[in-house]
Amino acid sequence: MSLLQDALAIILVLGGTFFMLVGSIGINRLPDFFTRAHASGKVDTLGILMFLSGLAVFEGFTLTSAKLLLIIAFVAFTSPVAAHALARRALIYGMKPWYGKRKDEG
Amino acid sequence: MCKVVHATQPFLFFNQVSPFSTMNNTSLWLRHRGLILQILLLSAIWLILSGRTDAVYLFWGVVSVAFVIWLSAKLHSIPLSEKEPCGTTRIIIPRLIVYLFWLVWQIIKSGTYVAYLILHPKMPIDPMIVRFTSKQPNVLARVILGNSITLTPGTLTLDIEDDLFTVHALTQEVEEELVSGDMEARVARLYMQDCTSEDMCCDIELITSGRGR
Repeated sequence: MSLLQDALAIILVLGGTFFMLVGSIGINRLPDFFTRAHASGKVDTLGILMFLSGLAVFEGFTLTSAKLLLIIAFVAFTSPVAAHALARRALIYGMKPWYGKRKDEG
Repeated sequence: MCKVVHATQPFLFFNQVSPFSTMNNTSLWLRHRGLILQILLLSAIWLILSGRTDAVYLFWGVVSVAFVIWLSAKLHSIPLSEKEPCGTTRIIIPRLIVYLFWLVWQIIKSGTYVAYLILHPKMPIDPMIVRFTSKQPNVLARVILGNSITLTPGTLTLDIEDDLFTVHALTQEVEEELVSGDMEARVARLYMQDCTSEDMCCDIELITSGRGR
């Protein structure tokens, strides 16, 4: 049981760090603000959720893991709102989205 | 680039009172459901955060819960937007639970999909802005829909004005999935008895180049 629990926790934490890394790569690689908001708002959310649930699995059924679950719920609700707030402000400010190279030439 | 899809059927049951609503059902649970659930949730949060069961901590917990309930009861009478109070129709709780599980699955799918797009060597993205109208039963349903659009694969809510949603989509496929109206119908079904996905998403406008605006 403990072995299984540890294995699951390790997998979740590794997956979480992987997704957070990919999110950071995406923020650097993607072409404009709105697509970057996709990277920070989704991939990072998934990364943080996996990381925290890995920690909760590692803790087992204790008060600490209940607190971690609470953090997970709040992150899951607030992170898309933050991404939306940033993107909305950028759109209202007049930032032009990137529509792809093909169409700019044509 | 603009395709307009008209709804096949107008919204007849839009303001209609559903059997799950309160009007003809006066049981204590249905009338004060929101309050009871609020108290339970707040107490659970207090217990988890404090982690103590001494009398003093429980006393301050009760005081805090009562204070928050009082505050949010005052907030509840303030409409979220003009002439539109927050909770005119009741949410259907079993559907909400199913919906939350579906949402978790969507978060996983969305994260892996965007991660795949990022790590792909050619980065096959084709970003566009989609505008569509979706008649949701109330303001809260619109908030839920906007949040869910951001959480589903490759789409990001940019703006909500009344019923007009402005959404940024990463690729063509996710745009098609979005305008199919599946998720809009799922959110509307949280409040209404049933509705088809064709009715939920109309007046679709795509902006795929800089000249479109």
